Amino acid sequence: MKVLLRNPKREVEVEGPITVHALLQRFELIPETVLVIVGDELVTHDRKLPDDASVEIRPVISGGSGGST
Amino acid sequence: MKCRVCKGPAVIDVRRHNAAFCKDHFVHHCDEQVRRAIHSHRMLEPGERVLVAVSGGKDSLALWDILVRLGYEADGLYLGLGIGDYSDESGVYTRAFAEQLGRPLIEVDLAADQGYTIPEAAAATRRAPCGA
Repeated sequence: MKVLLRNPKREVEVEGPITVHALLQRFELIPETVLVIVGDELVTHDRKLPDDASVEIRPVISGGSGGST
Repeated sequence: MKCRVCKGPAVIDVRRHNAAFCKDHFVHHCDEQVRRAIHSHRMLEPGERVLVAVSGGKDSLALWDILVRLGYEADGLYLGLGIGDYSDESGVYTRAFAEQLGRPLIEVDLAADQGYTIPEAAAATRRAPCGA
């Protein structure tokens, strides 16, 4: 699956299926600090994502003029 | 994971409340959190006029939206900082949001009203823009 990450903005290929919880662990992200979006839907940490999913991981904190987050 | 209220599919897990919510009940949860905070800290009287300083970002615009939904006469205050495209874009978002909300937006433009922008103030004071 394609995973879009921010700060810095990058796209990473991850093999699925995988739960959101495990995906966040892989990137060493604290669950409370990000939103996980599949298509135009927010997903919870127990959701298992199929290999063909297109996922965005967006930080909940943003702001300033340092570029879009 | 299921919504704590309606038991439908949850879209967000709020760990510090040990709860998950669907979209509609998460919005209601946020409204309730703001209402309780205002009440417990005695910030505002019911229906009081409020001026909300908004940056154009999601946090301040969401708070403005919630205050209006809770029944406050909340108007917006937007400060044009003159930080290039960032300020222009923030202003566009804020004006569009104010129109959608149907509430007045007061705008103060630093360059026009005070004669300087934040980048100019930062350079003059040799400080970071956030501390200028």
